[in-house]
Amino acid sequence: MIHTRSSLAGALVLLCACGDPESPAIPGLEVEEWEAHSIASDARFVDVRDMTLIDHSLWVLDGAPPFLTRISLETGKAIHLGQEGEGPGEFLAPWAIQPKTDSSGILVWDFGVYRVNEFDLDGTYQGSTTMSQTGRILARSDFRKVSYADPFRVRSTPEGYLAGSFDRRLDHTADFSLGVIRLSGPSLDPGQLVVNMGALMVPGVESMTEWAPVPFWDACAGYLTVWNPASRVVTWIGPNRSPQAQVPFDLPTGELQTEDNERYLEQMARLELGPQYRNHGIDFSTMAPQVQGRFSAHRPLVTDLRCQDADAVWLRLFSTRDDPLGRASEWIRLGRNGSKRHVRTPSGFSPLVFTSEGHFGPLELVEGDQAIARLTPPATRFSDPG
Amino acid sequence: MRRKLLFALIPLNCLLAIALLARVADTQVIPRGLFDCCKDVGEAGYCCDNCCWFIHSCRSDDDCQGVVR
Repeated sequence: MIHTRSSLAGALVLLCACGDPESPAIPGLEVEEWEAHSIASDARFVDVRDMTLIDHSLWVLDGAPPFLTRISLETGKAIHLGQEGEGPGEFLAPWAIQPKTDSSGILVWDFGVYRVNEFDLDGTYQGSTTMSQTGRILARSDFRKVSYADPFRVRSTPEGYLAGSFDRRLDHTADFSLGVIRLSGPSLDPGQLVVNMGALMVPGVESMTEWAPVPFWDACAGYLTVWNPASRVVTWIGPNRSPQAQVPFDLPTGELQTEDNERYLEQMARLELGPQYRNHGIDFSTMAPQVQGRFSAHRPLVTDLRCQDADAVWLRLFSTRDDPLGRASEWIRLGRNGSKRHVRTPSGFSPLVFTSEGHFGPLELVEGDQAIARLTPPATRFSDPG
Repeated sequence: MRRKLLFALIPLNCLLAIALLARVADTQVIPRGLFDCCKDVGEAGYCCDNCCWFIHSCRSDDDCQGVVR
């Protein structure tokens, strides 16, 4: 009888573990709880899409007017610069911001009017150019509300601008298999092919499945870093376009759970039917198993990659606990020498810029808008976060 | 006594029937997964293949011109 009870208890524990929405843990590695502190306390944002740090100023690109804001890290003062419109220097749907290759100014790519606007480091408008017809990134405008993937990323390097290039419009996460990373001019005219993202996809992934493991990439200090979801390796690619280092990162992720799919479906209902979606009486727990074939069989391991410098990248893990699209509040710092740190950020904080001066990103506020915050280890506030 | 109870239950059953009918009207959204629906890329609207889980709002790109999204 006692044996039967203990078996039953063991089965219940197993069932609970199967439904655990937590990110996978690294054996023997402590999870560090880091803190986010608001900078520029008076600046509020709606939907921060991209950020870049240059000359002790943080440039923030928002999805709503005034779109462009410069925050001084020394004084905390914020200056709002942009305005809505389709004319020169105005914004409609800006998605990417980067310093110019010579760091003499700022470029903002607007995929609504397909124009690149240039500003000097004081924020004065300098001019604009129309994006190349063939270099335009065509993706549904709500892509980042339905997928953890990021098709709108542009990175400045001394040799030019790295950006995704896709043969057709991006509608689904797995459409990344059709993409490559190219080195181009500021108008993103298709230039030299650097990475074929399709070659990095997990074999057998169907284009219609959600949560397909896709490549992620970033560029820092002259290195392009790429996450390969098939081999689970991060590759550092040097200025000569040859691999300089390859560091494996692998953890067992397990199968996607019904709870994961339920959270995703509820997010889609909110997006498609509006805030009153519950009035439609949708039973997500019944629906999730019925449409399981629309999702990947296994949980992806990584949902973003951001580089800090030439020696370290940060990998975002997968979990639906805080975000129905799977963007966990947990990051792995992976050194080029193979070292690892496991960091948990506060819920609602999404670091976008990782630098030696701190990790910066939008923090969701209770009021529904966003502030910009700096992430630091708890004992070393405002010092080098490593 | 039993007859009074029966008469009292009649309006309650009517209310229950109305509530059930209203519930059916609410669940006209049939979540079977992945319909064509209207989306936009930048300034252009288009019919997005299998992009929505709950609504079916287009058959062709023409259906999506001028759609408020």
